[in-house]
Amino acid sequence: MPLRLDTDCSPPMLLCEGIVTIEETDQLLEALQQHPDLTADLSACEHLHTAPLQTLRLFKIPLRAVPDDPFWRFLLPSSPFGGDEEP
Amino acid sequence: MNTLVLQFIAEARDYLEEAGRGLLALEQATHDAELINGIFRNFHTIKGTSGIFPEFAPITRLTHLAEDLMDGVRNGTRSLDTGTVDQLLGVLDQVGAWLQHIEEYETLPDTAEQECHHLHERLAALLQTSIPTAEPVTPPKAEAIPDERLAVLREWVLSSSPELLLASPAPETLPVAFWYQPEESCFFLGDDPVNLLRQMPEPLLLEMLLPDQHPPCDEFDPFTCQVAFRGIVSATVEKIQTIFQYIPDQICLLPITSDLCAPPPPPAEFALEPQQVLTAPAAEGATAEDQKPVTAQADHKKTAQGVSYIRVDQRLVNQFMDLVGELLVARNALPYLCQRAQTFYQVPQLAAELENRSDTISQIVGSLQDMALEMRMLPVAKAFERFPRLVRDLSNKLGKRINLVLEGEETKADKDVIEALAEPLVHMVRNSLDHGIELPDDRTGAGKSPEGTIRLTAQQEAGSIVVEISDDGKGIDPDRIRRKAAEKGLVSADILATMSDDDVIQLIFAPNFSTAEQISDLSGRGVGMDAVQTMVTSFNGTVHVSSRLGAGSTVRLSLPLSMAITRILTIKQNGCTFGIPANDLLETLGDLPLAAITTLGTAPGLKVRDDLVPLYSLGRQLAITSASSCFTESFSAVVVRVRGEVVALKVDHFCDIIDAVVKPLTGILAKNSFYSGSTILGDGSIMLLLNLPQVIAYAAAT
Repeated sequence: MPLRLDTDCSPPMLLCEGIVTIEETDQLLEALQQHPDLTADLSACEHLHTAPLQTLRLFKIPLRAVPDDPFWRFLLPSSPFGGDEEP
Repeated sequence: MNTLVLQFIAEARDYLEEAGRGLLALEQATHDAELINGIFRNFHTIKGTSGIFPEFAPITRLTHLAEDLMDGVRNGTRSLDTGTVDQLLGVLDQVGAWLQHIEEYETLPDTAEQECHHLHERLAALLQTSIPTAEPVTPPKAEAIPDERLAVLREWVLSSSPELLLASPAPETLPVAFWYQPEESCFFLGDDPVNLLRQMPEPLLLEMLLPDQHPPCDEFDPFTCQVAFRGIVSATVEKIQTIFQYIPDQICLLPITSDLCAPPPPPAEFALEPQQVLTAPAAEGATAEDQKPVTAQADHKKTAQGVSYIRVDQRLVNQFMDLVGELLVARNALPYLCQRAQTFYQVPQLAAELENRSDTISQIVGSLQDMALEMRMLPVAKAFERFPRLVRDLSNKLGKRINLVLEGEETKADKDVIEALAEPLVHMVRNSLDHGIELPDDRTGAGKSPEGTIRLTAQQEAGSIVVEISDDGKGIDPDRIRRKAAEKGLVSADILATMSDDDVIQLIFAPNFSTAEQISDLSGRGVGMDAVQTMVTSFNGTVHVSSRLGAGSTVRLSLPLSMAITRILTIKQNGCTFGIPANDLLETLGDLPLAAITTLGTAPGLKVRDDLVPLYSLGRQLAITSASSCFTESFSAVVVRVRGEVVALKVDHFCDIIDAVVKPLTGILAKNSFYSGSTILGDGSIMLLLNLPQVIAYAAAT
């Protein structure tokens, strides 16, 4: 599963790993509905489809970590955990 | 099933149909660039959409190759000969069959890989043999990228210190700024904008533009693309154009040159983040040529203007129809209530008021009913659309030259009627092709043009849709029909002798007439014309053939426009209420004296106007009266036409004609062939609808 929700930590965190396809968008949105304070860790994410990506960005989900690939640094501005940062 | 898959199936079918139509049209007009591009886009879109589902990979692979073939045609590197069209049509057929399988079983058939491989090889072989076209295809006019987008891009570039970009150490290529505005529906076409962006070489700057407002989480539609991208990359314009070759209208490019400068202010399409909101610098010394927008060949955008459509699940429409039907039934209770208020409760004022309201409600229900029927209406083009292909394939095979003319394709009828029409039409067009139209040499010999014409026309006539299939072939020989009918013992020789030629050729619809032996000039391939007759009758329609020997034949089908609402005559028999389709009704006769009954041979008969017709007792047939009580009182009769024969049915009373929604019978009653359905009456009681052909056939036999 590319998405794993970790509710043990506070605030809850969504771990995105490997290739996150459009199919995962519903799961992401559901996690966000249940946990408005959701955060995300994308350090192990290889690709993020535009649909989940726009959801992450539009709802300003704080990112704990972003992939190393410079490409993603443009699209996923790394934000210190808990804060929101636009490019 | 996954809604995404359902949507894919529905859309892919539309694209397949469009591509099929396009290919056939292209055979006539080989160099029509719009058509070529249209077909290319159809294959491209199916390829893209199917790509969302890894399990449908064969679809993606086949459409990909087909797309490549069409790309060759588009570029002028190959021509579209009949062989190529055949292969491409083959791809459409195959994908169509797979879609059907997916719809039924949610997966591709086990044979898909093999089928894919088979077609794939043939297409690949075609691709390797490139046949140059005589004339290169001119690409369609590029659509202008809106000036404002380019202007905003220019502003943005200026704000991003272009001189620094240009001054960067030895850039091999000049940087290019781009604005990528994906279509809102792009996810459904299989596009992933981010994936395209990843293919861009050397991004120097990349930004995602977000709308300034979006709905809350629970109303948010994540499958609508709501973002845009802009950036600066170090690549040639050509390279970027290649990456975006399928969506050229969504990308706007601006090479960054040293004399870049900017005119007008940006529009507020997207909320730019603070550092990107720019003030327009003075437009001085602009060199227009250098700033010309670089737009790739924009052939993808279709602007649907005027009518807009939404796709609705057919079940919803059917449920809506059902509810309107229920409403209709509930409305039917109102006149009953008015009458009760008047006669039983004796409150005339209330009755009058009720009647007033009832009229208003009736009007609204009437309009609602019309609209509901309209919603299910489809143009007959849906039934006609397969014929260009069928005629093309069959005429090639038979070595005949045929001009197919379709008329009145916009005529609408209920979806069920249109769908029911399809099969008989195929049967009859095939007949015309196979046995009606002669070979070119024979035609020339008969003084006709070598090219035969098959004409399919549709029109509305008083609540019916009338479809005619006519050909200018050799026609039907009534003498051959007479001989065959006599041989088969369908009609006795005496009667045959008195029958007109027109009546004789109607015998082709008789059961057991056309068989696998095939004698008539309209015979098919083992399916008799009686199958057409049966289908038409089951839809309360009529079919008639007319023909002139040597000049051609015309088959005329007439079906009701809609079957959702049926007009029904209600009758009473031994306290039970039954319905008779008003279509079958010729007249009603009330208060007949017993003396009116005469004998017809050994059975009872009734004189109706100048004719003596068989008289059957409904109560007796339904076994709700004893045989002795059948004809003991004065009685009423309804005169009906069943399978072309006029008969009278003795009933206790006949009542009103009502509009009703007839539901098919289920369970144990479904097996009873005397009844064809049921409906609910105004007082809430259930009424069974009589299946007259069965009732009468049984009565005649006993």
